[in-house]
Amino acid sequence: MNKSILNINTGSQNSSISGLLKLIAETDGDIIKSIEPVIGFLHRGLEKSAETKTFLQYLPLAEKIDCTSGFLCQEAFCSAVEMLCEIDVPKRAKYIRVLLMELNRIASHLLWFGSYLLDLGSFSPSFFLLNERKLILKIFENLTDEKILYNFHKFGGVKQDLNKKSLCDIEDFLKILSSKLEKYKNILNNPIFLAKTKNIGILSKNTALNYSITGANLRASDVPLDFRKTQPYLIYNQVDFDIPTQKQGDCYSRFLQRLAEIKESQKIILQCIEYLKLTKGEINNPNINIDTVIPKKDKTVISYIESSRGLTSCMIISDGSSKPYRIKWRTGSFYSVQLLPVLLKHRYLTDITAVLGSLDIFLPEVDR
Amino acid sequence: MDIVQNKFKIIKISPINCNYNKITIDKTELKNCISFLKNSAEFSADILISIAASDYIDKLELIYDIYSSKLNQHKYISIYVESLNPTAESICEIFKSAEYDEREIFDLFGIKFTGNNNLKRLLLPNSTIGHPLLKNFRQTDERLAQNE
Repeated sequence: MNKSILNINTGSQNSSISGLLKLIAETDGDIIKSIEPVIGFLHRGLEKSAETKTFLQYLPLAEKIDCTSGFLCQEAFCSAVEMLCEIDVPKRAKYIRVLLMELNRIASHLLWFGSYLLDLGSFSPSFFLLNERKLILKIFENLTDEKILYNFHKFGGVKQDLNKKSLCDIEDFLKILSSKLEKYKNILNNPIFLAKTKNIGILSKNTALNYSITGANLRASDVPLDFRKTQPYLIYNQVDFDIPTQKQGDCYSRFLQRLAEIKESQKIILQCIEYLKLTKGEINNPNINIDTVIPKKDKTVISYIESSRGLTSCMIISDGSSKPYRIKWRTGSFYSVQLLPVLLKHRYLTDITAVLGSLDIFLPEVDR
Repeated sequence: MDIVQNKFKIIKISPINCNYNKITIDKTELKNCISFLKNSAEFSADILISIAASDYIDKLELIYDIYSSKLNQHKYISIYVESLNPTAESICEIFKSAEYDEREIFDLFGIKFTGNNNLKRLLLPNSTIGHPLLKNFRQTDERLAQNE
């Protein structure tokens, strides 16, 4: 055995996922020879537990797949059930869902910014960013009485309409966010941050596709694939937004990518607010009794949602009974974990923090 | 006529969502089929979205969701695997991301993938007995709450 090789158990450095991801690194000096991620510490058996629950009973569990993007996960499950039982959603409810999902995406990205900057030693901006996230959580709390897990979706609609005051609150928040984001971008133009992220963890286009990477991580490697555009669900085909991409594929590109995506989300939210202010309408499908949602026949459906960490899909195999026969979740982070051995091979041990953080791996979503 | 139906022997076709079909082929042809979809100029699949398994007691089913960004289309290829000592071919060589999918299915359903060199439990501890997503799985650990 080569005496210079040392195996190190590297726990997670990321403050949002501490203790839930183990990385066994084989090192020669401070160069990583190979690295093996160990996952499963937060496995809650959410797919198994679906088999003993009715669709309605499973609805609040769906957002526990990724608790920082509750609205997005519930949408994945809800839209699958709506496809299964052929339930229509009123247009106003669709706009409300999209608005809240995009706000949720911003909140999730801000949480990622905060913890990523903290990991890289940039202490104060992390608190600023979490402040902005707090404003979003406040909006959610006023609306749903909950801060993290909202359970706001209903089969065929949403639980509550957005009134004028909450729409104005959201508008005010967007104004604050726009001015602050420019400021933060300037703060982060410092040489230490750039040295830690530029040209580190370069993910090529082919590797990204081969490892089934989706979402911001893929778009930072110059692949303009966004399921909101390619397979528009809800009202994404009626709102105007772009798909930003980056050329480099390094940690800094992924950072810029998420920043650009926040701006696109802001655009979508403004258009939703405009629609919701000008129109009135139903927020629920009046023909549906949500207590008795039972599919008409055995059927398999899959819903695809562009979540904050990549493509989230929910497959429901139904045998025509009130309980799902099998539910399969596909999440973006599950595939991002597999990238770590590729991106970190022959890199310095200290790069683990920068690369791991930049991929926005969220362990509850990996383990399910 | 679908490109898969033209080239491979079809066992069954069933609908998925409202606009797609799940094409069931023989399990010995799986690797050829996936590699054909990846390399064919017509479809040129570039992302393996996921591999899902399901237990039907007398047999197990694997559903491969493959996406082509060129055509913006999915292909759902499925195979049936026997429930006693289930084995299937690994597609790690074609799509690298299949490794975790296959390890997860091995962990939760007990399907062995020949050709996956790193086939071990992914989510559950190594001491786990049985494969929990099988329909006949019963929890034997008294410390854990029973589901039924």
